[in-house]
Amino acid sequence: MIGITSFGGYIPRLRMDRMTMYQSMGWFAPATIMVAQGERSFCNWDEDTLTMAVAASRDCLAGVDRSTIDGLFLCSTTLPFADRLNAGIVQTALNLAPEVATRDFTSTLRAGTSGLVTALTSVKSGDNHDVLVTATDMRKARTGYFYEMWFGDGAASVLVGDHDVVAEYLGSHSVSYDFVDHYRGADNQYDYMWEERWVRDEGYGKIIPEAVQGLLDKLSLTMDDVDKLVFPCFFASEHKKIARKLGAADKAVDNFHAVCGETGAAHPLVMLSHTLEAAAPGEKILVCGFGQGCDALLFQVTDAIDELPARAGVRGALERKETVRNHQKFLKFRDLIATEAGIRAEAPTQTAMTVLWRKRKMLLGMVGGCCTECGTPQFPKMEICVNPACRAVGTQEDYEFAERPATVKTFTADLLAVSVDPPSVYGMVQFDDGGRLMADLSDCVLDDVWVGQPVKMQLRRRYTDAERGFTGYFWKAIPEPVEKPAAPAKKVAELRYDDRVAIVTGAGAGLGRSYAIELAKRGAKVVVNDLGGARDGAGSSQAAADEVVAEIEALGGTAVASYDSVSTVEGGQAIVDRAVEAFGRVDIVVNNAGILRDRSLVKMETPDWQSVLAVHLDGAYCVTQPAFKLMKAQGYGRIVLTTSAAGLFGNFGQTNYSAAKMALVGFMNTLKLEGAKYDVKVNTVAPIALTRLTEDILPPDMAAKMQPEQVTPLVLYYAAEDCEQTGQIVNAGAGFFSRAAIVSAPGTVVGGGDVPTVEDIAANFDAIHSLDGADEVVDTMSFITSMMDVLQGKGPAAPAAAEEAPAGEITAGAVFDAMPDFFLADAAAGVDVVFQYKLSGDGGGEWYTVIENQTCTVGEGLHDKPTTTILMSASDFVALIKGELNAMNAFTLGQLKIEGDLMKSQLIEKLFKFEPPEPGGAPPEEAPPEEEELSPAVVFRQMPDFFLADQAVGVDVVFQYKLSGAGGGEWFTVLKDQTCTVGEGTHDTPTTTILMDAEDFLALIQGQLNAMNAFTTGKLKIEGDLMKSQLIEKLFKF
Amino acid sequence: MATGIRDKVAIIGMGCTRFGERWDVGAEELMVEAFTEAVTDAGIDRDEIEAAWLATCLEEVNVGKSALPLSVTLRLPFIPVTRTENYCASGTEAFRGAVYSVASGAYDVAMAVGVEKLKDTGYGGLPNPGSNAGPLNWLWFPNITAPGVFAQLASAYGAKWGIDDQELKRGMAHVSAKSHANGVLSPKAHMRKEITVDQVMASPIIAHPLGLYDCCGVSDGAACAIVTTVEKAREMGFKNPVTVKALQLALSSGEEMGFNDWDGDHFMTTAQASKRAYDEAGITNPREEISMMELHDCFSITELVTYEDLYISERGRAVYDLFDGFYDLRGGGVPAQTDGGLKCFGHPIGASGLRMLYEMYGQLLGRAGERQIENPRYGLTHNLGGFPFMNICSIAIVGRA
Repeated sequence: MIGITSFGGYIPRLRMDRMTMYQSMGWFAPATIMVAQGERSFCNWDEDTLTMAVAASRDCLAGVDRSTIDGLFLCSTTLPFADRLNAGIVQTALNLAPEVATRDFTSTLRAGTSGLVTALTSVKSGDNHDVLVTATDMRKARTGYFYEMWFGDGAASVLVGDHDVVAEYLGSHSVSYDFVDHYRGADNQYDYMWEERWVRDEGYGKIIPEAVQGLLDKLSLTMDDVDKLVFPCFFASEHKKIARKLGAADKAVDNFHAVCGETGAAHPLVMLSHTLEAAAPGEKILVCGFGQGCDALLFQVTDAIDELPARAGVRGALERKETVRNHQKFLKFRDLIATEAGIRAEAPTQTAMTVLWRKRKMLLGMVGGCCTECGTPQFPKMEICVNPACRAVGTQEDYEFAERPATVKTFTADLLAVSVDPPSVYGMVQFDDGGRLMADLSDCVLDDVWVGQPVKMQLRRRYTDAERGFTGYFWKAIPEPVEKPAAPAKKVAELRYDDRVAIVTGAGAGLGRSYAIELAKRGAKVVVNDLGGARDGAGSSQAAADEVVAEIEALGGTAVASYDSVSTVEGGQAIVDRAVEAFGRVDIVVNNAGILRDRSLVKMETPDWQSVLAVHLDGAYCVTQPAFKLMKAQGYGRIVLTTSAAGLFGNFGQTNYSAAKMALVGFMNTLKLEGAKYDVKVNTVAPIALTRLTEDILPPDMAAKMQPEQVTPLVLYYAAEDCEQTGQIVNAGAGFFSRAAIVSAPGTVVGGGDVPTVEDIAANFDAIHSLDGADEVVDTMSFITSMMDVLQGKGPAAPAAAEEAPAGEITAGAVFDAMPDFFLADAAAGVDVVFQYKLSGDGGGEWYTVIENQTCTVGEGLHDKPTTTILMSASDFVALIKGELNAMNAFTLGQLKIEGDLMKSQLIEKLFKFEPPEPGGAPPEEAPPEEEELSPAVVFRQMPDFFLADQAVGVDVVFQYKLSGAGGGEWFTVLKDQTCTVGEGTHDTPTTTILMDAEDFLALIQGQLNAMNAFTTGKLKIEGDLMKSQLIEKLFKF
Repeated sequence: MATGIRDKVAIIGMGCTRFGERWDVGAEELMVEAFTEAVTDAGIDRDEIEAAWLATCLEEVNVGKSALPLSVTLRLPFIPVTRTENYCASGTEAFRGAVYSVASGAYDVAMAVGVEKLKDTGYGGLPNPGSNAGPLNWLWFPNITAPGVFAQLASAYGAKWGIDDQELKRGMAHVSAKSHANGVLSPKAHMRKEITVDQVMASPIIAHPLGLYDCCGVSDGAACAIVTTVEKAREMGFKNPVTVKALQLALSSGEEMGFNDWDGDHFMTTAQASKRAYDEAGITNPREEISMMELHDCFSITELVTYEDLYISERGRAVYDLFDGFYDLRGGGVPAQTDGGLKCFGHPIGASGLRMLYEMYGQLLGRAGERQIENPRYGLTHNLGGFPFMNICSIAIVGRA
């Protein structure tokens, strides 16, 4: 049995959206709208027919022993060399033996099938046993005509042989006619075509059926015996018509117009490979190739097809795609437009054939060396082993790298390097089994690449010597579509307190002890202050402080004890003096000492009140004041105060303690301002810890998690040199941290300039009481300023402003409020960026969006580490969002400035789909409730209101709408003399008739359905003048 | 048994042109400018120079091949003149030739001149390194640029030490901001404007993640050194001359590019050459003993990782030393690029190594004006040629006799 033993394919990753082509060139060639649906494949700038041929061949040879291959036929009409055996380049790239029969089949679109017939004939004769037939094409077409859209680039391979057959060859039949539907002169780049109607009717329509019928007659079969009919024909209707004519309406395989376009001489094999990928044993597949005649071949799939190893195939290649919506890029990649490359690009490009010959295995086959002494793979292969521990001479054996897995080791995206598609991405590629090289990366952008990313090698065009007509090839790394692993948590360098002197009050036990020990462990010299009192402050003892000092010294740290009371001025001074005497300075003060005397206010006695305030509040004053004097003088200090949930939020039976703790927040609020100039930072912790103060209050299971050590890191953070915060309050305990803050609402004006009455207050109490839009207040000045703004009618802060904006106006603030709704999480896989917006002028301000883990959060103000900063006026920003300002134009004209990573700014368009928010941020419920439900009848009644008369100069058309389904019916619009009249029923002479479902029609009107998509997917059908239908968009603004 | 170069050779005169876009002059005028200053500084008769070395790298846009451009331009009277070329380390190579020639006793007085006229190319940046790397390179090697290959240090360094992109970029920005602060004080520098860390970080990307202000400029310039033996210098009246303490050179063996154990995050050559240089100079704790440095800061990231290859910063810690101001002129650590470095002088290739020495020489003699370091003991220069994955590293340490 002879036949197909393996198959494979390659479609370049890039797809050109045909509507984009139409948008670019439709002004010049309006008729091309007829085929402007779907996408066509096209080569990346570094691909051509040879690189695609090698990729398809490798796909086909998955799991195949290459040493048994004895023939390689390369079929194409667009090979890079007219006189240099192109198949020989593929042979070298695949590291096939010199004895392989290499042939180029060219100069007809039938080359692919002719190569296949010849290979089968050769196997049948016994001359060859394993022949690889690879067909590939990349046809250029001038822009602004159908062919640019019809054509696609691609390649496919079929291995034929006399063993392990997966599709048995049953026979073939060919006819030859010098039918010149198109031709390309030997010195011309582009096809010259004759009228399509003739090509369709007299060419495809007659010659293909003749060859098919000839083959069936030869084999005494009928079309009933055939399961799949494979033939190329880019005229969609003719493709169907031929199939019907042959009695194979339901057997014809799709011509791929929508997904890749016609790949020339490769197309029959691309379609065949695709068909075989999903074929069942027993199926008969008839394949035709058209071009100055027709080849027809019949195969029958065998059981062995199920044994073939996995491959990407045509299916895999079609799935792995990047849709390009930039026609200029398409033209540039195909060298159809000239761009300025600059002097830098002028480099000698001549190829030394002697070097190419000596290094052919290295350059085309990616063959390096592997040392027989030490086993080190290396590239390039050199005489002396690269391993510094080996250095053996002449021990290198050939070692093929191309199929081996590798990862990215280092990389860059270089905007300076000369490239057709800047920035040029390249880096060091490390092979998993050893060996590395500096390589170009292709089919990727910077954001696709990271250190450790898996790559596969592909032969690509390395350079083109246009002057001499030579193309050089080498291997590039193609990133695998693998998601970037999440970045490891940020590593922060160990925070040290070397040579810092710290005072910790109440350090004899609990939290204070934990703070003191940890500070000492990290290099600080610590004054361990503790009066050694009981929980209620009674009594004193030196033991507590001494024990902690001993503990610190045992750990190799430095500490001294202090037994003075914090609650007197003398005691506080003595504690600070102790630090200065022992260590010469004070850098850190942690006010931690405290006592409890819990009683409800009714039962409280004056000493309970006074002693609690004395220790907590007076204590903070007595110790901090002398320390702060030193800190101010030295220009450095870190002060930590201790508050409590009882003070911040209240707790029954603790009026004394709550008052003292909240007093410390006030103390901090002002001290932070007094210390700001001298790098003295003041912060407050609200510990939730199991200490002797709280151990009998907390439930035991929770208490187990509330060791003081859970609070200590936060206190140390506030005591660190790196700490940049001041005036903060954070609750901390059991691994839980939450920031608390004093906030104030935007506020409201009551009384309208007069002194408000009590009744005014009562009447406005909801507004007065509202916390909507409340924000933290950093100091009294800023509070007063915002109050003045409200009083002077400048309006309060963001949220209320959005509500009060004049109707019809969108504010930047409202846009940012709504921004998470515009975020396209799906498009953000692996994206980790921060965009900072600095908007000037009215309604301006600073906002940022943080995009990570496929989420988007918006913040007001400045971000610490923005990736990209966007500077523009608020009004331009709003215009941009509303689609009234083009981003690129704004950038070019200087209305939009970008700092930081310019490349990343391009992500914004990808990550956000902006739909203008409701004017003034008006919520949807404010829409007039009486509005009738939308139906086609309503739409047509209102249609004259939507009509843009000034766009309709000279227009004279009748649109007939035939809407099916619920709410459907027939309406027509007559547009004449710049007026629009609507009628129900059918018009006698409609210019264009639109047929669709009533529901789809409403979706279209509301912008939920794209007209072109609807047309492409068949939801929208157009009869009559197709071109005129495009006027609808222009003439009506729904 | 070799004894090294320490204290055998003295520098008795140096000269350096103003660096910059010297549209009005060519390499010839630049050489004469540097030479005249050096001869005057040494106070010798030009005929006392017995041998000379010329460093120049890119003959395609420069003076052409051979040492004739030097001998003809300076009208040197039939003495031996040699051209050295070792990529961007060419300048220190010329110096090495001159130093070893007097140390060997072959000559009493020798001279090294480095020059590069770059602003005749017609475009910004250096010519592409691949365009003259032989017929094989062109057939397979990527179209690399200098920023493109050095930028890759950042990707590897960040990944290896777990430093996030923005933090590393900020560290790199500190390198450039610090050099510019020094460049303001350097009358011969090309760029003499202060720049902030935020400006550096916001500068347009050249090769990710390097922005414009992470890259050194391209300029024209020349520098010159005249050397003799220490004994001869004393005879000539230099009581306490500047002497060469160490002179080391290390070249890649291809391991970085071809073997498997280099992570792409540092310079193997520098780590070797610096160790040998410290041994030669008798330095045991460089972080404490080196007083000042001129590093090959072609790009901010180059200087950042070089701190570690010189054993001044611990591995993975250079960013934090930078944040601490350790390399600032008055930061209390080891001031780097006291004259502004390549960042402010630009990089006329052949001249750079000698320009670095010129600054260290001036500092040691107390001539550095506003940039003067207090009581400098050892000055180190680091001159690097090539690419992180294949390069030439040259280290010189100078001090007083």
